[in-house]
Amino acid sequence: MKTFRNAQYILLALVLGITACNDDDRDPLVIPTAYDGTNFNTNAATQLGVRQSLTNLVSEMKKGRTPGVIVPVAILNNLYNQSGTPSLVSVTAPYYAGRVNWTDGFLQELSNASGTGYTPGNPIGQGGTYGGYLFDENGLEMEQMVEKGLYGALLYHHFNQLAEGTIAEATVDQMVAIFGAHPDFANSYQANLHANPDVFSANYAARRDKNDGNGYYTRIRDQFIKLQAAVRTGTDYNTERDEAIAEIRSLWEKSNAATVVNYCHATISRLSSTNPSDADKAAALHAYGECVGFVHGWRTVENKTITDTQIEEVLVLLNAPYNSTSTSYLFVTDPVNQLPKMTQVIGKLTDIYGFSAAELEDFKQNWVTVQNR
Amino acid sequence: MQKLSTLCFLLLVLVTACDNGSNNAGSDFDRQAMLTHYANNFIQPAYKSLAYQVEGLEFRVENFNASQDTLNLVALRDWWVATYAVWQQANAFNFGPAGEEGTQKSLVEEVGTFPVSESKVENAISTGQWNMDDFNRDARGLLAVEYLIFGKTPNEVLNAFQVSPNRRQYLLEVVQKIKKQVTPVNADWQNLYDDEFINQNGTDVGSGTSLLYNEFVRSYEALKNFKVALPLGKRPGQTQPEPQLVEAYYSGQSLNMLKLHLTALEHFWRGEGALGQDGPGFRAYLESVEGGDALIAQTEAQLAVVKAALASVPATPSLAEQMAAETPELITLNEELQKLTRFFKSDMSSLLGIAITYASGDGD
Repeated sequence: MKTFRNAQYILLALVLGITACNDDDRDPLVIPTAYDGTNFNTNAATQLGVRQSLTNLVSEMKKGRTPGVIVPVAILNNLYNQSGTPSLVSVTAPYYAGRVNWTDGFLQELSNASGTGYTPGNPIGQGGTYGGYLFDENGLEMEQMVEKGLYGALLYHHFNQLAEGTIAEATVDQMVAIFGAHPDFANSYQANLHANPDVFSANYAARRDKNDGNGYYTRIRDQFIKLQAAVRTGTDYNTERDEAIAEIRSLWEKSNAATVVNYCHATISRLSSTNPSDADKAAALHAYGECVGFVHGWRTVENKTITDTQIEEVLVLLNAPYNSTSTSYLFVTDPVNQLPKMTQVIGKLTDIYGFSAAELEDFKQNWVTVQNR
Repeated sequence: MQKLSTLCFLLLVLVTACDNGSNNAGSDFDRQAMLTHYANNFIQPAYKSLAYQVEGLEFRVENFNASQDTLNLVALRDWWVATYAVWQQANAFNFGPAGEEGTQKSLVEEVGTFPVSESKVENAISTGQWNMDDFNRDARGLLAVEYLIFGKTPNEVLNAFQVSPNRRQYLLEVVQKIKKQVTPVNADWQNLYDDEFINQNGTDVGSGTSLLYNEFVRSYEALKNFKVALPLGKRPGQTQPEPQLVEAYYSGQSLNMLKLHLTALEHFWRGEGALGQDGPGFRAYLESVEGGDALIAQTEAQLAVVKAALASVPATPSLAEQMAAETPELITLNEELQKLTRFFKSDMSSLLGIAITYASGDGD
């Protein structure tokens, strides 16, 4: 009888031991329904400063869209390299910082193009304004190469930097800020409708979100809420924390690719119209420039699905190879033969990200406008 | 037993509360029945007729090319008029198989672009070089056929074709291209796409109702803007009439086609099939929503005014000549068409909860 009782104790001890060693012996992570932004402005002051610096740079570059207005490269260089703490250059991925800053880099090219006019065709001069936008002599819009390129090369890259360090509650706020969102998660860029509208990458993720609960923006928001909950609850929930970060990265990248698809469609639609006006052609080149910027900025950035080789292939299809002079103007001067390349870009991104036919159709829309939200 | 009843009630409440329809507009209305009616009694017959007409058009072009005589020209012209009349029933369904895809534009743009670029057509014929797959849609399509066979007096047309093999070949290839574009649209609607369309019975973007409604409004706006306001010189930036921009300029069928288009849109809105098969349409849908009856009354009142204005436009002289003269009848018609827009567009969109999607670019 005694032997039997001893065996019972041993069995009980074993069960208790096994139970104690089980990783799942934790309460499930409690995820609230909303993000707590109580300390957002304080915690994310640095990232909000970076956003402001980027806004200032974009604003200065846009001055070049006005015919006759010269944008001095010294001002652009100062805004990119010196202004703010940290400066924009210091948080940009090194490869892209070089492209922005080279002696014949994007800022210099933008400055060179400003103040004159441009007509798409074989390169002559330094480029100039055309239909309300400023293009270099090859038809590429340097403003987009800088701004949209930095969405990947700076914003996403900085998100990676934050994720690689110690992740405290403040870090999560910083990540939200560098995405371009606010704890309100407006899912809209419309400043007339929201106190804290989305900017930069968050702005474009919102455009691709149908607001049906499954869109990129909504899912990114949910992952930020999960991330905040995991970090707050403690190291026991590092798995959930890391899952959330991985999911945010994936969704952010997909929303970026979805926007490239959107702009490919926009470019194709305008340039394949029967008699496109100069305004149509300029708007198409602008949309095309956004495509190139949104793609190129991710080259060399880490923690992404698309490889650098695939990015280079897409850039070749876009007539804007990373390592040689672009021939962007060909999309305007020879659309019948060139536009199929943009269709190939859509196909390549579809293969890489596994977009469905329904998603591709949805990407054509700006849902913020459609739903006026 | 009482507990069971309470539980059932709560479940019912929960299920009802969880119904995430995109809006409450016409929640009792059977949209699937409406889509079925539109597919079976409007779209499929329209494309079937169009495909038949285009087939016949090709046959008559081949006859004409074989023998350029008055008899064949008259037969070709008559068939073109009949074909273009059928097109007025089919030109508002530019989605699904007839929608824009890549560099291919919607069917209305691919085969119904006007005005025709005479210079592009004549340059292609004189050089013998053309590409039916390029983006010069104003050098092909049904209106290019019209230009080629109605653009001059019958004798001049006959002579032009008799002396120019290129002209004959160009005409044939234009019609073959139309056939190449219409045939698959018709085939898809008869066999493949109809079920997909009918089963997408929500009201969200991409649903059958949304596609149908958006293209209906777009077609109405095309009628108002491109068939009346533009040739009349009333579009932003215009300072005078541009009568050569009327639809069906060469055949003298402009007014007739305008009437057919408006009638087709009205029947469509009412749910009155071309062959008399009435069924649930947008009008019935409006009846199912709060405020719908008032909008129906306003729409029908304005439709009556528009139709009266159109009826007052005389058959002669040609619509282009009347446009050039900026006749009071056309000025009135243009104004009344403009007044009808809000009922079809903003008011109907708002009441039915269907977003207007056809001008929603990303912008910057």
